[in-house]
Amino acid sequence: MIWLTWRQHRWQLIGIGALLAVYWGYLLSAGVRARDALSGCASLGGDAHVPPSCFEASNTVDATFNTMGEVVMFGNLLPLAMGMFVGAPLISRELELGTYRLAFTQSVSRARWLAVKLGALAAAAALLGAVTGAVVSWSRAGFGSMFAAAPFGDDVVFSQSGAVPAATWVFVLLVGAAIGVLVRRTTMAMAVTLVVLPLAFAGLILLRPHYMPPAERLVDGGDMIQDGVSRNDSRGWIFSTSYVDSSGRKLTADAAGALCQDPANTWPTAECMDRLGLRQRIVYQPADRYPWFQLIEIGLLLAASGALTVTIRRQLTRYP
Amino acid sequence: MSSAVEAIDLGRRYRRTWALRGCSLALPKGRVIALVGPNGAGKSTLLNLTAGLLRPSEGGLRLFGEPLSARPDTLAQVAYMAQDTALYPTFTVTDLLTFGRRLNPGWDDPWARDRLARLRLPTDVPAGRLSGGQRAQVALVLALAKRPRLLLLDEPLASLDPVARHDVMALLMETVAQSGMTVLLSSHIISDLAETCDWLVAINQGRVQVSGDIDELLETHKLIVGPREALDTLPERLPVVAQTVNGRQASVLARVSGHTVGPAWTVRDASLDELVLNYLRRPESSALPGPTRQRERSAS
Repeated sequence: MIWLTWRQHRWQLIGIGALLAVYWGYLLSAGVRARDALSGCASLGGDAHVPPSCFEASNTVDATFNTMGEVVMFGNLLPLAMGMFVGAPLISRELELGTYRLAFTQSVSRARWLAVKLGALAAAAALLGAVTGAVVSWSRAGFGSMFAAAPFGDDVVFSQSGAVPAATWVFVLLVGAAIGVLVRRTTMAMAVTLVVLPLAFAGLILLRPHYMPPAERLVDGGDMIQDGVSRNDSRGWIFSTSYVDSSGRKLTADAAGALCQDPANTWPTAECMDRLGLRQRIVYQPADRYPWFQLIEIGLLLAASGALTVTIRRQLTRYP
Repeated sequence: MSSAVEAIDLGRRYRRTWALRGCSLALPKGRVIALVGPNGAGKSTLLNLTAGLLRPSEGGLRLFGEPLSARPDTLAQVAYMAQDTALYPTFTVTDLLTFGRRLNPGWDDPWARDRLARLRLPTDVPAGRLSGGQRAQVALVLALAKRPRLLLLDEPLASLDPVARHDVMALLMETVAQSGMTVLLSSHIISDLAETCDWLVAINQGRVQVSGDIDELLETHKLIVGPREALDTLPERLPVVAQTVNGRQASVLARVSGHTVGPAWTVRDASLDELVLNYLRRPESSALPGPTRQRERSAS
């Protein structure tokens, strides 16, 4: 059965593997370039004698990082290939060509046929996803925290960090296979998969902030977060900031800025906050929740994959 | 002794229409059984149900005394081939042999290789590029090399040219003679079946009309031919299957057992063709299942 799975899907798997190899190769080379460029500057303490080559390196790293960011964004679409070219045709092609009658009259039950096919392909998908996660993380680490902020709160990077991509790749395979068994036409199944998967990804991005109720924290001027700077900070995934005056009244950033009467800033500065006794209220997901968010997302993807497997199995053993 | 195939009130519905209904059958082991009937009679449905490719809407099926199931040992007993069964188009003949070997514990690899070598089929050409006759040969070798106890063939000869048809039948009959497997073979070309089959099942409009040993059927059914005006003179209790009037001549197919007919009539043997055609023209006639049961009991 493993032989059959490989024989039937080898070209798609090789094609996807080649596509991913190009992606990994690019990311690794970007990571290596960043490490090379930064290693010359890292040892220099202070800002007394920063050689001009270091500025140059910084520019190179900056440009590389921006390009890599765009590539990683498109990297989120790579799992579509698994869903479309392996998942969608998995059963629909057998039904369309009529080869299911050959496959299902051998001495192998449909349940086993399905278990081996989905099992072997899901293992391959998980492996591809896991390597992708590792490569993305390694390459980003090469840029240092100044460029590459934590993936927590970054919609583009979160889904390709840690073990999440392994679950994503398994999920796309099963979405494709389930669509294939329901639609029963290969081309149609591929088209539906192409539409459904981006919607599923978008749904996941919308759902992600709500995996856990956010935490709140009141900070003084010294610990304040510059408004609108970043969604991900060393403290975690920042949802929103607002201000509270000494009497406990809530203020928006503009209202607090007006109180400061600082001609240079419309928003309060740390100095102003301490002067007026304002405090900043931060609504956020603390950084130590990152592993939990990864686990919750993996759990969601795998639970959906499990439900899809049950659906496929039920459809398939119900006889065409 | 259990039958090869036993159907009890078997029925299959596609949405509102019944493709097969109230089908009760007991097919003996070791026979080559012809399944005939007009298009849409339910032949393919019956074969697909027996192969486990379709699930009955009602009733049940037993193969060799065991209820039909998805267990591998049940699946291993049955092989299925249809003329339009697609082989994986990108698989070469060698790949298809590997497919058969890896998915069937009882696979007879030396036999399959020997067969394909004798058929001089190119082994490295994708199945999609073989001719229809070659594909049918390969499909039949795949079905036979599984060493099934029951072989189901759904119109295996349709759309084959006469040479390919002959080759496929020759391969089939040679293997069946050696192995003693039960074969259930559907076709609408009755003359193809006359030489090779020894049991007849006729189904029509989703119901079984005839099921019996071909020799016995031919022995008990006679064609009575005479002038049209004399139709009234036939014995009233004569079990008539069907009668046709052609100009001034009437011919009546009847189950004759000691009946005597008037001098105006001549009685002669019916061919299998005539027997089948007369039954299929009159769906309300049936020859069921008396001979089946008796024969089976006497055989056990």
